[in-house]
Amino acid sequence: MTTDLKRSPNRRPLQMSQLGLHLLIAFLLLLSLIPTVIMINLSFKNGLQYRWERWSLSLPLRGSNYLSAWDVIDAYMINTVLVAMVGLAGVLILSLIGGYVFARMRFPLREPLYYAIIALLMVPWVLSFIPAYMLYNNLGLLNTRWALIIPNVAGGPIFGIFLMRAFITGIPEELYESARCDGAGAWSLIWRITFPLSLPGLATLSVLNFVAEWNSFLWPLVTISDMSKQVISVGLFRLSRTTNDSVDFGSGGPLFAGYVLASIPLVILFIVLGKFYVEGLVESGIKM
Amino acid sequence: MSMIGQGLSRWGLNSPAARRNITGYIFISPFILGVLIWFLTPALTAGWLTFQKWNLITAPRFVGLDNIENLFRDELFLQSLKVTTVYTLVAVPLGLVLSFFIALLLNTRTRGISIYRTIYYLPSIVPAVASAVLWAFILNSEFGLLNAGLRAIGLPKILWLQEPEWALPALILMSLWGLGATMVIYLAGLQGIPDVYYEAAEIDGAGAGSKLLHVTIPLLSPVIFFNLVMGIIASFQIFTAGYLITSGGPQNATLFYVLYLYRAGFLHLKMGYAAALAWVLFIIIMGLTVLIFRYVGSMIYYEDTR
Amino acid sequence: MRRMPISRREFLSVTGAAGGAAVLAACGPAPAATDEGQAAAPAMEDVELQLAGWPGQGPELLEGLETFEEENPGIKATWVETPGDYRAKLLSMIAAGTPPDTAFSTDFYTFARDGLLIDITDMLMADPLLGAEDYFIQPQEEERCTWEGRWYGIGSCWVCHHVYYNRAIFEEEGIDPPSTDPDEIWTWDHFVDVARQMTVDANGNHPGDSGFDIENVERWGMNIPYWMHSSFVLSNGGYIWHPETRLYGYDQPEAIEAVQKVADLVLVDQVMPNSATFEAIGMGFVQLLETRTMAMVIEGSWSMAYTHDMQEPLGTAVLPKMKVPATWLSAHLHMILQGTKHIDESWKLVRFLSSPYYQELFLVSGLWLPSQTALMEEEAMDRWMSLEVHREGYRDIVTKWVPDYGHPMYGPPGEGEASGFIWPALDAVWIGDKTAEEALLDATPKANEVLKSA
Repeated sequence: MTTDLKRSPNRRPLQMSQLGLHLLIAFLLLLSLIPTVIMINLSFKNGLQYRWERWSLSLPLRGSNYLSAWDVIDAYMINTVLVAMVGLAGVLILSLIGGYVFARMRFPLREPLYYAIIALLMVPWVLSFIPAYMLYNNLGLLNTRWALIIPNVAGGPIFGIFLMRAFITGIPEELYESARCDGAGAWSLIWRITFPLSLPGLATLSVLNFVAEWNSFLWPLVTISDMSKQVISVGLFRLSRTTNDSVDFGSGGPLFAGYVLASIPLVILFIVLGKFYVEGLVESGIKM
Repeated sequence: MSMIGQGLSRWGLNSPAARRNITGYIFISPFILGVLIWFLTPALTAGWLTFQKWNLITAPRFVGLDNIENLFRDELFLQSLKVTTVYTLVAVPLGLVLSFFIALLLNTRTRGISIYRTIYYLPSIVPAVASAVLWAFILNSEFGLLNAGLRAIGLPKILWLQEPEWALPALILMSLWGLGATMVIYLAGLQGIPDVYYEAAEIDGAGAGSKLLHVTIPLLSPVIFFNLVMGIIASFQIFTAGYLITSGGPQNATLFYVLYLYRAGFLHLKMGYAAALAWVLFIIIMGLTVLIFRYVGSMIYYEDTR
Repeated sequence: MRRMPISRREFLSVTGAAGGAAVLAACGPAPAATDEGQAAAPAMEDVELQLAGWPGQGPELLEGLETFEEENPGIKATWVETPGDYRAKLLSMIAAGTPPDTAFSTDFYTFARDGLLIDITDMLMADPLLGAEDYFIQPQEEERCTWEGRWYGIGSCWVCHHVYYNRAIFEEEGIDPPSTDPDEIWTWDHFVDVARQMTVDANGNHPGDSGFDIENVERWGMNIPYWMHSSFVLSNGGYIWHPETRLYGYDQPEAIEAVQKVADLVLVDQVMPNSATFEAIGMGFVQLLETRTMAMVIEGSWSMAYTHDMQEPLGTAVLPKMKVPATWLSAHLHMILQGTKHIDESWKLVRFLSSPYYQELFLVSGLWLPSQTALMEEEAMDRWMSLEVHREGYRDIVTKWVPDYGHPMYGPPGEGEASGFIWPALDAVWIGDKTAEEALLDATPKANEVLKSA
């Protein structure tokens, strides 16, 4: 809808509506920025400012909040990046392959199997919490990073396959036909055609999976006892306990600095992956 | 491949079609294996728990259908079901439409659009704990931003988190800031629509509205459908907002189903009952999804898959 | 955190002096393993014990465990801290068959009833130090630690509710402040009346005056966290859980009246901010008093640990009484979990955690109140109590308020679920949606159904 606006700049009325659109974008932009701005604003406050000037910008900014927060959460951040990255690699590979299989290949029981996978999405996580803990315990995986990686690699592709299938279904069949005529096997259909064309989907999956890992709290809390292997969400909770004791509201600044710091890897990830949206991969696909 | 081929011919499965069949299975097997071991085993164990009385402490004891029978006498179960259903009915459609709209706006190739996208996605990136604290601030009836806004336009203040009738609307409002995920999925889908379709439509003299209706929405329908199904599944399993911000209150107005389920297990020490609750939830979501697949799924335009 | 300089050795000699030579001797290793320790058992594998709990214990805990390891060669004690849902963590460990050896209590009576805890009665009774009749404040210790007559844990300490106030405000207003001495306890009505005089709006009006502006209060009379209403249910002659039946007493007239009176502080008396206003003020209770936003605050005794740097003169007092003086008492217990391979060593640890030495570590900051009589002796208090921390008159809290008027409050089995009916009902009362009578008469039978079937 909006792509054509750019393509036909000579149409007058559209220029007007384009202005309106930009205003609308700006307005929504402002709205969606509110929580982030509040968070950043709070992260620079000292105790008094936090108490009395919670909403307004207050000077001087106390940058040292970031140092105190980083002191507590640095190891947790590194742990989480490590665990999330390894898990993500597995999730991406399995989801791409699985998405292709269910979108493009035909085999007996494909549909029932596919619906069974979707059904897995509906299993409430609380349900398998204790049995899963017992399983990891029996295998001696508690208190190791595997206890954080394996559930993601095993469970992440359930959503991933569902998502990738939706994208891969949308890839024009002609592309596959011509490749098949060139004698490409399933393996190369996946890597030569599907992979480059589903980069936006994979980027999306990466972000969603990473954010989910980043926010996972209860499972790491329970499975990891050694704080040196612990992850960021537990670390943030700990930070909230050390800087913001139950009776003193006064030191929320470092806590919010911690929240901001913890968001940065995700912002970076999103920006890096964002380029997969804009490179017009689909167009190049059409020309193939 | 050749070794597999030899093996296949032994069973008379060497036809190209059969080969494709088998390849599908082979490709999908690592995933299936992983799910079986790490996901399905615990879930099935939990299924077995439905028929047990287990306080996590002493050995489980078989109680037949007691747990399921107890459901119908449990008013908090009904309350949590009601809360979750209302939430889903309002928040999911609202979120679907709004994020679709935003994705359309953002689907341009203007310079700097990636920054816009990032900004829209930011609220979804903020750690859940942080956004819980922030929203508790924003929704506070005395010093919160939201009531300050109401006051500015001359409306009376609302006790967002204290009044039972406002707490759920407050959390629904808050959910609109968590639409980043849905939005990026739409965006990725929009990016995947080849320009040729729009060009063709333009040649036919289609306007913006007509292109939206006849090109974008049909071609995006698998993604819309995906977001609808995921939205419902996720919304029925909503937990964090009720857990961190309202603790299910005030007066159980935000006692979401999974929050109640979690309490049944870890606070009430009734794992068997929690498992029964979980199965009921599973069946509800499943039933809804089947209905959606049947009645909405048939309207989806799948581009030449068969 | 301030700490009195006192060595372990000095301390032992003091308790020895107070309790006689037998006590001093008993501070040696427990009978079960007399030769361990001295003889540096050759090539023996170290026994590793886990102690599970939640964070916020301060450096005292680790210091204590170090001392324990020094005194008990061959035993290592590891602190397992869960910064979050401790209950979920502990239950997962138990369900998986790998409970920690020792732990802070949660759902204590459920654990005890279901055979999850080691019965320590015999070890305790045989212990020359802890087994002495007057070792603990009684009967409260026995009440909290026993299930059907057997001991399954030992309390870490006591904590209670009491009043904190800003002395300077009382002096300026020329009003007599409340006292720490239960013999001079205020009645509820007097308390509310003083709170009314202390509550002032921008124009100098008090609640009840015509023109009192609730939106512009300069100073509030008081605050009480709503969950602390339980002390007043007790004070009004009611009970939270019946000692025999273990059922809720919220449907009794005494409880209903007490709850309504607490709710009326906001709804009728206007001497206390409602919860949204309180949140809007956004201060901890120390700042509330320090900035004179509030004259009096009812808080937990543990909060004393956060008052050290308060700029204004702090006073403490017992709670006002509705009919009889009373306070809620609580604190975690240390318990040994069934499944440990090291019962004797675990007992040594729990015993150590119940020693005057260990308890005193936490008394110094004001975080804990003693549950052991030795620490209530004048000499002991001279040592761990200080005016900078505990302020004037606090000895009355330790020696009278807790032992004479304190009631242990630990939920019976099923309480977690049953409270799911009580708390929402109380919420409705606090904001004035329902009267205490309407809400509690409806909710209590439902909650009691749960307790009965638990």
